[in-house]
Amino acid sequence: MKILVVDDERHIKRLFEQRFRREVKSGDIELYFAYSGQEALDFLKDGEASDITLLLSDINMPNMNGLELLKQVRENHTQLMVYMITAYGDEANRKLAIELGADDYIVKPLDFQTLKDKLLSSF
Amino acid sequence: MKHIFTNYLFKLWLPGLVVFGYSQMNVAGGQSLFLQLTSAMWSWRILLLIAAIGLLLLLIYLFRNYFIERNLLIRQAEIAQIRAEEKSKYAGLLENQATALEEAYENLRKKNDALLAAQEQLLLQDKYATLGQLIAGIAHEIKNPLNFITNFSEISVELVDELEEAIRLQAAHIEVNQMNLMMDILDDIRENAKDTNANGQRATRIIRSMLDHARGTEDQLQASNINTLIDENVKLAYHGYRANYPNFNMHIHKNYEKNIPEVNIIPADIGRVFLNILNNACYAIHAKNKERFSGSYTPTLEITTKSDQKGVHVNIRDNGPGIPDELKERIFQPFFTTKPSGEGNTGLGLSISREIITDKHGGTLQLRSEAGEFTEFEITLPFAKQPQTAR
Repeated sequence: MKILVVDDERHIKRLFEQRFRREVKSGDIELYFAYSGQEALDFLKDGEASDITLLLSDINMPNMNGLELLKQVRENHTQLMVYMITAYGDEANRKLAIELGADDYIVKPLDFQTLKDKLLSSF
Repeated sequence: MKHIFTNYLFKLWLPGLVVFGYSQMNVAGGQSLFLQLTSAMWSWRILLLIAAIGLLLLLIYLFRNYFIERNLLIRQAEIAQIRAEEKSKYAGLLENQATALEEAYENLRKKNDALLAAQEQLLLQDKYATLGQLIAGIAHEIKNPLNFITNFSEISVELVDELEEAIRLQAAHIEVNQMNLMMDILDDIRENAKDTNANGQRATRIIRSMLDHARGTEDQLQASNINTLIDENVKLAYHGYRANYPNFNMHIHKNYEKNIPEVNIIPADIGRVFLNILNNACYAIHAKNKERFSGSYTPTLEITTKSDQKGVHVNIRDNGPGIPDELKERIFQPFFTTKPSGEGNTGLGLSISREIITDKHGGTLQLRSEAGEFTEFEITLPFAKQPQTAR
């Protein structure tokens, strides 16, 4: 499966690559990264990205935040699974994200074991 | 000459007698007028009468003067008395007025003090509210770096394990000394990464509990068994404390009322209160135990639950160092803590606990303590709870 990770923090790439090292090595998971909402949208427009199955996006980002990205993604990519990632673990934010069409809502600090379990059960 | 004088005298004094005297003179001839007169006794009587009348008049005059004088003195005395009375009366009035003014002033002063205190309280509340928002904002921002700290450190542990594995596969080609050195270094890296991870998680827990407190849960009231709830939290507190201080130990006496009736509470909130007080109790016992290396001190935690018609009571008692009287109210103030910084203390525990118990559950949180002896918190949760909107 192909996962697009969107976060304005560049450390996220090394973190995901190391966390999914085995899965990446075995070819079960392919990771792509975008460091802003716009970059993510541009990437998704690209024909190459048509087989992306999951979008993991941070909410708190400059310019276009994760929820705006989610709205735009939902207009064009109805099939895409979207998990929102945020430091804000409160119920109001969770509800908002789900209303806007997120499939799940993950609270930072990321628990990768839980994330992997979710991926396994969803795909 | 004599004649003339007496004549004159008579003329002047008694014109009637003069006429009479002349006639006598005429009758008696050469006799002296004085003798003629003395012989006439009635004229002496008249003189006496005149003298008596004069004397009487004088006496009357003197008496009159005396009485006037006396009246005057009496009047003056009366006036003086009246004046004194008036004076004392007015003095009394003045004094009353002064007292009234003083009272009014005192009342105003008290009101002013109350207003100032209220104003200060408002400012303080405002400050806390602002501070709360700031804390929430910072807490969320800190979660981002913490995310990397905990995750990278955990990965490092895995990587070290894998590297160790890979090196061991090559053991045949490596000198023993070299091998040992590499293994030692790998152990150190692994321990460092583990410590980094543990501390990252600690920071995460602190942030989470702070956010929980700041946010307040929106949970619903549920009929709950207080024995189960307190027991869970006793275990949590005890093992939590032991995880940090492996040598820590204490006796736990549980006096739970059997078949205690359920009470309507927000379990997460009350659990938080229990955990907070229990953590404090563990801390107190631990502090006292550290001080006394020997002796007969047995660190003891005593948990009692009971019920009456009104509600359930939970008593949490430790035989730690107790709380001095001057701190008994202060410990409920936000941000007040006696614990050293750096152990994740926010100083919010008891203030939030009291808010949860009194505001959200209509119960009471009471403190009994004797410095050097014990500390006991009694939580009372009423059966008839008036639900309030969560803030």
